[in-house]
Amino acid sequence: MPSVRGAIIELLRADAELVAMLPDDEHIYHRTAPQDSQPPFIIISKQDGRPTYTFGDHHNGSLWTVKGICRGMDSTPADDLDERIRAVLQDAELDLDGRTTLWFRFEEDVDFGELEEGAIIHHVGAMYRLIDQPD
Amino acid sequence: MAVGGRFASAKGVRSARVVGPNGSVVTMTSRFPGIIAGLEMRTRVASRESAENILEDAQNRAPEGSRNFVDPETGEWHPGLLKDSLYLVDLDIAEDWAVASDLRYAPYVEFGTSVMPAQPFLIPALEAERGPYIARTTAALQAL
Repeated sequence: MPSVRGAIIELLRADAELVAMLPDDEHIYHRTAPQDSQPPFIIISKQDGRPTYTFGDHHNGSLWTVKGICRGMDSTPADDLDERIRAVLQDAELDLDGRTTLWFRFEEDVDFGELEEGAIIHHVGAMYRLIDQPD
Repeated sequence: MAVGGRFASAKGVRSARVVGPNGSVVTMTSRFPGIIAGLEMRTRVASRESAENILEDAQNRAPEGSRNFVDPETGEWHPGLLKDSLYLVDLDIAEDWAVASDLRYAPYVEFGTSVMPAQPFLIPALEAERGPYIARTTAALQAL
């Protein structure tokens, strides 16, 4: 699995409890959901990434936002998705080609509401910091 | 050896007179009060400088914005609306500062919506300043 986003999606899709909260395991998207998608679903996106060099060697640090999204007055479905996502991702070892995961851990909450035609779309998730290095 | 119990406190300096066995007197001066006084001021200056850098970087990274998002006061859109909305807030807690925006859609841009990809401008600015902030604070403390 060459990409970080692919590895994260693979981890999430492999968790039966998480997938059971979604219409199907295709409802996990990178960057944005297709225009006609109906919540609940999960969106992952890269918030930041940069290398750190130490005496010529380097490791990569990146921040990934992973959100559960639901629609309606009640944010519980998104809250539940977030809780399960954390259980799956915290300290997980990502399957990355040619790189080793040194650290993948919750960093900070992301929680806001989006107004769309009178309805509230809840975004509940977190940023996770990944530190990896070449093998 | 006797230690004189006289401590003088003037201009943030405390001193103690120590009388040795041969009657010699040594005055020891503590720099801690001065260091403590300088510590807060120097870290605050360093933090302010980092906060200003984060603000400027975030302004440079802020996308011009979608025409779907308008100025809540005027109901109009103009290029750089998000950039212009960013400002520094003194949280008045130790050396803490915040970069803020009053635009409702600012988090939509930073974290994306259900149908719009994220265009991060604040978190990358914060992350870029992490190293310089540590270096700046270290240098400020070493100068004490």
